[in-house]
Amino acid sequence: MSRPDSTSPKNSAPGTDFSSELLRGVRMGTPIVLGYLPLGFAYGVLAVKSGIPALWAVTMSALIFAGAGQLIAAGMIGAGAPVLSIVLANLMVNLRHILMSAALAPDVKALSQVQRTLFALDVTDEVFAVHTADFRNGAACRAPRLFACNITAHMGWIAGTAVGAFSGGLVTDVRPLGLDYALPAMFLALLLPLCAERLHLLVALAGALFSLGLNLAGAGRWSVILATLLAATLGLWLSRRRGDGDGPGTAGAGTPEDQIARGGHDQS
Amino acid sequence: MTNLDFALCTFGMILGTALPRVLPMTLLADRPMPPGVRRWLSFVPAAILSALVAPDIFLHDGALFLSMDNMFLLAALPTILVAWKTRSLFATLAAGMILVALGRLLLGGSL
Repeated sequence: MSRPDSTSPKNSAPGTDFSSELLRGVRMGTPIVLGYLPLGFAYGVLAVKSGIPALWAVTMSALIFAGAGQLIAAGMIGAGAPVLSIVLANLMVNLRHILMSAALAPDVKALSQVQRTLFALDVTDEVFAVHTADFRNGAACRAPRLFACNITAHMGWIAGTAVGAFSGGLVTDVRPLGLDYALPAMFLALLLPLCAERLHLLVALAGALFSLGLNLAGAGRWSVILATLLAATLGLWLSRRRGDGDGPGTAGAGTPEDQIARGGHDQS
Repeated sequence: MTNLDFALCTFGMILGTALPRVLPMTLLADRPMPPGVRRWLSFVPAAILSALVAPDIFLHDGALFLSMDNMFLLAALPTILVAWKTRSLFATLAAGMILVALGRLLLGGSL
């Protein structure tokens, strides 16, 4: 799949060094690659074990780029789930990206709609976190850097998948390698920085409890989205009761809320 | 699954991944959200990630699994500590997977 590596120069202000922005983007994407290589490897192995042909697994990584969604899909395909339920499960897992996309929107206003679309396609949790931190440090909207970072991360995901998928036959059981822990560990890694503020920590604990309760009550795959709606609403209710004392400024650095709040006020 | 099933599945997953990422950035970019919506949305990432990970760690075959055999649960606390201290996806993944692998090797847990 082609990415707009040849980004239009109109977003680069005069005097901006195209190649230095490009290099910065690659450097921003490198830590993500370190995370995606083992995760992609785990997905590749699990996908092949679930009966997904290796080439399909790699194709999916190239076209979809959704770590959690693809890992869940691999499990469901292995369990013989119908296509529609897999597609819906992936959609539900990815609904959280609505928030992240909305949060980054004000920062990429300088991009054209086509560029925004191509940029948004590669905004995973980690890519979002990296760009958010960068923009908060005052980085300008430069297409070469944005796309270099995204493409670097995406290449890492594809490469990890390919290695896992094509060497998957050598791995008879993923459990001794702990590969089945990649997804829970990734969620923990993403969750912890979000819990810097006490209210958000409470919401996370509530989300976990609601999710467990709904699962045990037999809500199945709806339990995640229901638990999320309940816990977020609880968070809003608690913050209202507290008189909304904690403004966006007190939230953890780089939370989507900060970004969204910023989008509401800045550039005016 | 047939190749047609894989193609349909891939196509559906492309849509289900692309739309939540693309639509807000392209459509809502220039519209400020009401403060209540913003506040509510700010809780969604923490809520959804914990709602996703909790069943992975605490449940097995749809039932609570609180036991020394539950390797996912045993590994969770040190993994959380690593995530907290390093804020690194790579370090957290490595720590979690190595702990689970070691635990299974040394303790022979059933999960």
